[in-house]
Amino acid sequence: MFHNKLRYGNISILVLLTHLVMLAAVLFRGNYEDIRDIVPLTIAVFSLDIVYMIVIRFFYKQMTYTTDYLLLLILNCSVIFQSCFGGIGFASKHYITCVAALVCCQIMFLLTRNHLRVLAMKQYLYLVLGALILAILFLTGSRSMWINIGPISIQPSEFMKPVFVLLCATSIMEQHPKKKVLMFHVSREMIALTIAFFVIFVLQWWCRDLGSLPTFAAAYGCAILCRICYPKAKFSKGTLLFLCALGVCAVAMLAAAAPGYVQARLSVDIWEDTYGDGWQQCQALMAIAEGALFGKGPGYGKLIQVPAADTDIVFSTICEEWGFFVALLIIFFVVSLLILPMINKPRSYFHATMVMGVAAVFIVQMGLNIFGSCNLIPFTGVTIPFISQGGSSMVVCGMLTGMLKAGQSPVFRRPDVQRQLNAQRRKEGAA
Amino acid sequence: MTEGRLCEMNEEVFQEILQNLRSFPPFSIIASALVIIMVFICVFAMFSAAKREKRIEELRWDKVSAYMELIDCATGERIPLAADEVIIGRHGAADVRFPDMSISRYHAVLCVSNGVWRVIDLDSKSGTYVNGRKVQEQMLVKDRDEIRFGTKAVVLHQRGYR
Amino acid sequence: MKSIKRGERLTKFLIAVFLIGMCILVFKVVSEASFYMEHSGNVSLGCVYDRDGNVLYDPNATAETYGADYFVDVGNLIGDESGMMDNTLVSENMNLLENYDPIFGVMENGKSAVYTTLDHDANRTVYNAFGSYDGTAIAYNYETGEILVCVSKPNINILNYGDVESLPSGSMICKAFNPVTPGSTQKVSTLAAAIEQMGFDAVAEKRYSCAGVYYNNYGNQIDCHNLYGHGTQDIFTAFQNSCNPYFAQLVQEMKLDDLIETYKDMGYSVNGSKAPNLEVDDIKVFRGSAELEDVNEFDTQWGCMGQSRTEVSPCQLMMWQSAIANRSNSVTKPYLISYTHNMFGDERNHARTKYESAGFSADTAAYIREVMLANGKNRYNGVIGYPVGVKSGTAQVENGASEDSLLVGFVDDTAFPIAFCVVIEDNAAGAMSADSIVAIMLRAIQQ
Repeated sequence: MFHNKLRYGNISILVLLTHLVMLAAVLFRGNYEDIRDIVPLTIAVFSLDIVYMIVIRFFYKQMTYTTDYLLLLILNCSVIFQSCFGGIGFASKHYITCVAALVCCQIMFLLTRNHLRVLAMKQYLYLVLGALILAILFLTGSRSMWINIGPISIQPSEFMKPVFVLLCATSIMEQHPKKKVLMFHVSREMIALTIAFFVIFVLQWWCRDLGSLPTFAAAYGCAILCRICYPKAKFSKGTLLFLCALGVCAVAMLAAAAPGYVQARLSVDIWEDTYGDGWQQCQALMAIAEGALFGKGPGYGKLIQVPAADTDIVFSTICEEWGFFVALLIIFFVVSLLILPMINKPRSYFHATMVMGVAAVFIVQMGLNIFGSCNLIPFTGVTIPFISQGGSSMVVCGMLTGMLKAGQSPVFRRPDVQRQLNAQRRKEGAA
Repeated sequence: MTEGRLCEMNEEVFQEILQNLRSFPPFSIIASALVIIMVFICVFAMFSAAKREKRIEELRWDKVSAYMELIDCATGERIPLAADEVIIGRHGAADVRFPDMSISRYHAVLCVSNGVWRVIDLDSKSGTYVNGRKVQEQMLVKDRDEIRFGTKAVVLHQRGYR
Repeated sequence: MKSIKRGERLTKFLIAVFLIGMCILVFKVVSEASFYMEHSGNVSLGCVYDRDGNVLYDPNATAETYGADYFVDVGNLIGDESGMMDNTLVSENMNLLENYDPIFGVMENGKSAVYTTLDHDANRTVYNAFGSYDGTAIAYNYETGEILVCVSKPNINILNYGDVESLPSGSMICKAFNPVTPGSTQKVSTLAAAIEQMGFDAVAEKRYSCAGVYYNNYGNQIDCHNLYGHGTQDIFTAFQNSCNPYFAQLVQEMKLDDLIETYKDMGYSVNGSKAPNLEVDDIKVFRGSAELEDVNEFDTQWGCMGQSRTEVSPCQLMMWQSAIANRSNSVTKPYLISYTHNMFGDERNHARTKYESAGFSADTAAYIREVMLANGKNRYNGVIGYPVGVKSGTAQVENGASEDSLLVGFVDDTAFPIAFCVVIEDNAAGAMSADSIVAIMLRAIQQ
């Protein structure tokens, strides 16, 4: 019996069955020489399924388990997808990061489910963000986003995402004392958040990691939008329109003043230059057309020879091997992960903002990746949550999922109030 | 015939079946459709489980919020308290809105933690009163306390245990 | 609580925006999939076969498997996937050959194939018959529209292009679909215009004399190839003699507007007007062009006899023969692709016989048919060995530096309904006769 007195037997069986069906598809349609090639993948997937199901059964008390099951379903599907690229094998690196993501999900859930505790630790969040920024400035190579420790490469900018989402959530939750700066009533927290955003903005610009910028901008924008309608924000519609116009102008000016390589990206006709700048996108689009609706079969893809086939253009790689319909499941996975907190709504402003921030990060990342690789918008090197290979991004996606779970299973307990309550009772008793 | 050769033959037969299946076009449709249908069933089963979790969560929330609700003294209307912070005011964005000119736009906040409700005054013009006592910053409120925002009076009321 | 709802609404909005983007993406991919496939190197192509199942194009062909010269007679008609030539059967019908299906995608060992109406053996026989001469020959079944022979020399060996720069000019186009100077074969069109305008009784009564040279109304000199003149002739004898003075006088009696009208109806681009498009299985075919300004003037009269700036494609010349042979007011449209196989081996795209307006009436066609049959009976039946209606032509090209021989016609046999057009280039000496090539071609087709 689970802690919330519900049974999850049918879901457990369905998750196992789904993975079984996918593995059967690999068995019957896959590209392998010996049937034994599939065995490690099968064992890995089912053992992770069963072990995780048993672990969460005894895990810390929580009100929701559906997020865990959905995450497990997605991650193992992702392992199956990744293992099939260009021939059936076993993506052990991806598997390990998936396990890490599951662990991080639980850790982040425990950290964020009591919003009062997060609030109390707000200054530490800024410290962590500062530390990450310093790490990017000093530990990574010149103008790059990677820290290389032996065989492992860490991308600190990825870890800024959950921290920034938490910052957004903490900054809009309470009634803050306001000051009038110019014509706006602003609180200290909002100023701090805006400064943090601009520091990240400048840093990303400097590092030429423009792909992550929209992610932060979306989280920040959502938080600000919530904030504008929040108590004591007395913006009129005129002011809002003025702000929007200002934003549009800023974006236009940025686009005009962007460095040459960015501008080249913005206006490139990929079919003019199929072997140069347009190489990846052209190959990705061709792969989608070649795979058509039902795919060539797992392992038969040729896109894997193109750089970043398992990260930036992973959507096309899956399209080629599994077909367009199955590739659409990726979107279905992420969207249904975001629908769960809508069914089981958060009970506090903090969690609501946090869930919204996570949703913004997921949707924007997925949109940038899929539309970018298909040449609808400029191509940026971001990953699809859960599906793309990449240690840092996978771990961060696990963390963000933990935050989604915290929104559905929050805890409202405050130590100082408990003391106050006891004191009052004693007083009344004495009276 | 030894067992090894039998295995080998089985594998050959299996390979042949696979080859025939792969060249049969609707097979790819069946395989894709099965995967998609299975994922859909799985996810929708999760949604229905999430709905069950929601009912459990509501019960738990009742416990966390100590089964409290507000009752409008003038009309007797019941106002649910469904979040840990409930903002009371005249503004459209307030959680509980009273269109009464004596109430500030954002008048006060009702918070719950550990099953105890507090009322926090947000520097309102006409003040917040609990059982006639003016709230300085914040004050704990309990069952059947009368809270007055300006001229509007409400009662914090504990529903019967379910 | 309201703020919580607001957050949820924002999330829903983001998801909605994303899903709208996905819809755009799906639409884009569906509408552009064939364009993407054009760039793809991962799709295999099927073969092109002739009517007997002989291979005309094989993407994996080598000189070892087929023989070095196996494809040389169809090189610039069938073409290949290399992109060296455009306007060939393969380059214009790549989508039929690709082992690709927009629903099932790419298939490694697909069965896509194109089955053409061509007769490879006959084609090769005709190609060899040209010997050292260049030119083109095209023949089709004027009842169904199947192209049986289509040869264009010089040709190209798709197995070994060699140095493309040093290839003789015209190697990489199929001349049957490109303009040639029609010479006296143009007199068929002019006769059609005259009959349309005056009625065939009036034309039959016309008698003009030829003294070897004729001075037209403006005093320009029109030479006849017979220096001693043909004397007084009616249309039958003038047609057989291919007498220029006769036709100059005939043109002089026509109304310019009606002449232009008939030419335009037949498909000519007159004085720069736009001719209707003609395509044979997506291969673009030139129709004809002429400049007609004044019926009394030399250039117009000379243009109506297939010189001056008049140009027609052999394919179009052959198509008019179908209307004449059928005594019909519509021409049979030629086609090359009989049917195709999709990548699962199912038969698709069965060709159907199509017709288009000939530009002259059935009565006119019947009358021209009599004239041409008379010409064939008196001059060519014995050489060719079939009852034919023909018109020969000699076209001066390159300002008279070179002469091309032409022969258009049809076989008057319902069991063997073939219309043809043969052009032999640079044949001033007449060492190679077009009628002998027609004879070889018809025999080869019948075998």
